[in-house]
This record gives sequence, structure tokens and C-alpha cells, in this order.
Amino acid sequence: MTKNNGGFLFTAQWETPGSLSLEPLLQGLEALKKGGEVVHILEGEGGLSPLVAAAKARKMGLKPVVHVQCRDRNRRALFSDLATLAALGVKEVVISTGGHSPQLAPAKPVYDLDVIQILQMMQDMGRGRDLAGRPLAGSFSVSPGVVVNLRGEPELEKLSLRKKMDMGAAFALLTPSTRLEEIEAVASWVSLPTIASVKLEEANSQEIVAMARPLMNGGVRGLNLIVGSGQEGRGAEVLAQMRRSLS
Amino acid sequence: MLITTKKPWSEVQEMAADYQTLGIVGCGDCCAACQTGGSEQIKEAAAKLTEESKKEIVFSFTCEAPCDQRIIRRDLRRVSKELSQVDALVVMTCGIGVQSLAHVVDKPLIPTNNTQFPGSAARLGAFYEYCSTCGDCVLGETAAICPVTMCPKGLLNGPCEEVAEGMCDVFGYQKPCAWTDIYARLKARNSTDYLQKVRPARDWSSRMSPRQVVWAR
Ligand code: SF4
Ligand code: SF4
Repeated sequence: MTKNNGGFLFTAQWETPGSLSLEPLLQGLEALKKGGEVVHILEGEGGLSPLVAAAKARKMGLKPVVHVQCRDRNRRALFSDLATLAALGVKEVVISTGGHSPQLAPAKPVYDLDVIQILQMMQDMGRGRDLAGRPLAGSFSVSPGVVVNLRGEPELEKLSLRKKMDMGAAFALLTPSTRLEEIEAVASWVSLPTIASVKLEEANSQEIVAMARPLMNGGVRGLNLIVGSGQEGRGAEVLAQMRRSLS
Repeated sequence: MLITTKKPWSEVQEMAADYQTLGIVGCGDCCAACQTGGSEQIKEAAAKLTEESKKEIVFSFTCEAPCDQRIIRRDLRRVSKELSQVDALVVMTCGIGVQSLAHVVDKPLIPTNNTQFPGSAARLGAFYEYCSTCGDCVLGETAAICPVTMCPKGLLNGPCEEVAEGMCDVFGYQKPCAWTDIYARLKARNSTDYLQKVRPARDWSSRMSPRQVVWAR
């Protein structure tokens, strides 16, 4: 995991905008860049490809962490995405299931692989094997993070995380919360480097900035700020304030 | 059983428009239970077709298992004379019944039902999907709750990250999370070891439709 501020990591999380031009994507990344170098990128609903976003982000000097979700892609597409990310030089991804909203767009959900099965596929890629077990040219050293759900049944979450760790999970991203005690309760048993998340829209800037120090003191390794579309400037500002608050 | 629902009647009328003399075949098993093809529904359909659409119903009967080609062939033999007089057959069965009929009789077929899912009847008029016919059953490891079906994402290795307080995100947190239920049952039976088992990706090469099971002779 990329660290700064004495080991505490500040990151922005952002969904790619829906657009037929690259302009909003480039503008969003430019704005987020002012908040720090690591940006978590997810595919927005009808949004541009996170692969393109990752390539552009790398060109701007950012370190993209791409979220790869089971929802919309079968194993061939997931393999291709992960191989492309490795080829682009992306070092970290977050593997998650992804939510399905039948109300939004009546699309066929995919879920060909679950998180464990993607981690398994990544292990095979790391051993230089493709989906069919054939040798792959080049090397694959992408580190997978997984999501730990603050609202799940705790014992089941623990068992789930253990299984994901056995399959190579390298860091944990917590689902968003503004409640420190809730975050700390889960972080206390997560035995991976742990990043907390908070949604920019769910608290005022001061509240978010004030979360950084207690989290750091509580052993959490970073705070990931989930920034909505049009909020990139404010998100970057809050990240900069948090960084200053710890220096 | 296979759960069926009735098609809108206008769809049936449209399909029957070009034919004057009709036979009706119902199903005495699943469609009778779903009230989409039992004797009462056959009577209703016959009345509507004669009174509203001015068709002539030459014969009608309920087949005990129209999805079994041997049985439907046998039943049709019993009405072979009437069968030769009809332009088309109105088929009040599931899609399997319709296609089984198509294998044994060369007549235009007018299906009246939509086939929904293999399901369980909890009571009259309440049918629930429990199995997606995946071909590789894991119920023995999941406390008899099917993750392929009851988890709308069909996850084989545990819960997603969207579950909240035991409820599933896909239906707006109105239905329980299958994996939380699986965990609770396994825990009550001291069998949570099953949750640590890694289930590899499904092999879809054997799941391409149409599937078949044919015994070696
Ligand atoms: S695992 Fe589920 S879908 Fe597969 S056969 Fe068993 S009950 Fe049916
Ligand atoms: S909340 Fe539970 S049942 Fe719903 S999709 Fe996630 S794991 Fe499956």
C-alpha cells in the first residue's frame, strides 16, 4: 500500500463520469490530483471505462487503485481487465462483488465469478497462467484489496475475510461510515492493513477532517474519501486539510 | 414443480386468430396446482374461445403429465379422430409441455402460459423459486439454502459487501440475505467449517443449453 503522512494514507474514491468525451474524466482527475496522488477509481453507472481512467491517471502522475467488480463482467472480461491494468502499471486493485439495482437499468447481472474466485484467478495470473492454464508472457504483480462490510454479521465477516486472506487479499477497505466507534470495532479484528471510508456527502468537512487522527491512533492505515460527481474540488480540499491536520 | 402464470388472454386470442377448430390440452400436475391448466381453467378457456372468439372446440382433456412424451402420445392416440379435425391445439401447460407436444403431434400449438421457474408451493397461490437447476448442487454444504438461487447474485463463497443487518441490497433490503441465513443455520449446527471451503468458478462448458440426461443403454 502506498503511504504518506507518516504511514497514514489519504485517498479519494471516485466513479468515472458518464460521457461520450474524455473531458469530464480528465477534469475530474485533475481536480482530485490536488487532494493527493492515490485515487480509487470505480466504473460509474454508465460511466467511462476505469481502465482508460487508470491510464490517464498514471499519465498525470497519479497512482490509481482500480475497483474491479463481479457485477458486470464474466471471467474473460475480468481477466482482460486485470491483465490490462497490470500492463498499464497499476499496482493495486480492490476486488468486490458490486451491487445490482434492477430498478435502475434492467440489465442482466453477470456475477460469473465471486470475489474468492477472482482472487483465485489473480493467483493463477501471478503464477503466469491464463484462464486456460496456459503460460502468460510478462509478469503480474497486482496487489488485491478486499472490502470488509461494517454492516455485515461480524462473525460471518471474519470468516469471509479469513477466506479472502487465504486467497491472497493484501489489504482491507472498510465500507463507509462516519461513526468512529463502528469503524474501530471492525478495524480491531481485521488483520490486514485497513483503510476506512467516508462519504463526502455524509458529513461536513470539519467532521471528516477530525476523523483522521483518532483513526490513525486506532491503528487504521488510511482514510478513503468517497467523492461524488461534481464534488472533486471540495473532496481534494478536504483531503488536503486532513493531511495538514496530521502534520 | 414448474410454476406457470397465465398469458394475457389477448395474446392467446391473437395466436388463435387464424384457426377455427381447436382442441385444448391441459396439465393435471403442475399447471393444475398453479391454476393455469387444470380442468377448471380448461372449461374457462373453452367458454371464452367459443363465446367471445366464436371458435369451435372439438375436444379438450387434462393430461396427467404432458411433459412426458410417452404419456401425451398415449393420450393423443385416444382422441386421434378428433385431432384430425382441429386446425390447432390450445396448450395449457408449461413450455416443456408445449414442446413435448410438438414432438408428438404436427399441429400449430397455442401456448396459454408463461413458464416462470421450478418452485415450491408454500400454500395455494404462493409459489417460491428455490432452485436454479445449476447441475452441481451445494445444498449439503449450505444448510439446505441454495446460494445460487436465494442469493440473487448467485455467490458460492459467502456474502457480498452490500448486506446490511442481515438484509439483501438487491431488493431494497426487503428480503433476507441468503448467506447470513446460511451462516446462522450452519452455526446452529456447528458446521461453519463449510464457510471456509473454497468453491471454484463454475464450469459453464457443461451448462450450455439445451442440456440433456440420456442413460447409456
Ligand atoms: S445448488 Fe441450488 S441451483 Fe444448484 S441444484 Fe442445488 S438447489 Fe438447485
Ligand atoms: S446481500 Fe446476501 S443474498 Fe443479497 S446479494 Fe449479497 S450475499 Fe447475496
